Amino acid sequence: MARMLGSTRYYVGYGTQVLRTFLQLIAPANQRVALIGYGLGSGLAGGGPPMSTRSPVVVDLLRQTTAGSMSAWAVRKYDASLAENLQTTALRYGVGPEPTPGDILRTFTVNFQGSVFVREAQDDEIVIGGGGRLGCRYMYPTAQPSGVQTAVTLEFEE
Amino acid sequence: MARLEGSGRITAQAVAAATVETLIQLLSVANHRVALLGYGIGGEGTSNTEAPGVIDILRQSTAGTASALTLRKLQATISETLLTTAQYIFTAEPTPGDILRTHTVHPQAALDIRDAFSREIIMGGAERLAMRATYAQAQDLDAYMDFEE
Repeated sequence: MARMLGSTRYYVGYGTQVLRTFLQLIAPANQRVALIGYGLGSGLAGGGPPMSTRSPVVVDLLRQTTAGSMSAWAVRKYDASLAENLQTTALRYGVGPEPTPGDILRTFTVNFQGSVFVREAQDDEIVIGGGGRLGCRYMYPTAQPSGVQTAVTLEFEE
Repeated sequence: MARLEGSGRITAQAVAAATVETLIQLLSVANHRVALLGYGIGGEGTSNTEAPGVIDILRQSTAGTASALTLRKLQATISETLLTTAQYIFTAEPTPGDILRTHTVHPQAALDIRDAFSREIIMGGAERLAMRATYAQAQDLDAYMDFEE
């Protein structure tokens, strides 16, 4: 890890009662990556208002071993003036099979009208080994109305 | 970056329903990098059934059409003048670039983010970094962006 910071974020409409991975980070071979922060929250791009009585979203941060049906997604440098390219890659939400789950490292809930953004202390981060994958997945305890959107951000250092 | 820290803030900024609106745009000067130290946003909503809004932290490549926002030094006794400038009250949106973070914030809630030292988002010289919001319903928002140059 040599002070190369980046992020990937995705904003997607999804409200069904099925576990779904929204973002997955993939470390390059022989290079470790630290997850320095992550955030998740739900909003509404259109349709009716969300109900304040709905159950919170259940979120997992977990290791994964396959890509599942996810699609390639952009990662962005926090310092765009750095000449080097990020080696970490990302995949985003797909509607097919889920990636193969591994160890679940953290589980937390986020109120339907709330959000969370977590920053890790230096040297206390979750580390992705070379070639490893780390996913952020969530599930609504009950089905949600159409128009529900969820925003996920993963920050990393390589 | 030499420990000159500043802040730009807006209060009760009205945003229209279902419209992407930039709240604050920072502009660094040529050949002078700026670090985003932190930022915050909160709504002045009065209903707990209103929908959360979507907040993006993103790079922008144009000025759009806006008013100049006065920036303040976090330590007023420093004699040097801030070189970074800022805009608010946009009537034409700037051209969006990379979106670095996306949050959601309920109209009755607030979000306050501080980045650890050496983990900040960096603006290169003469670059623009902004906070923008999209709410399903019209809202009044308060927000700030802190930076170091």
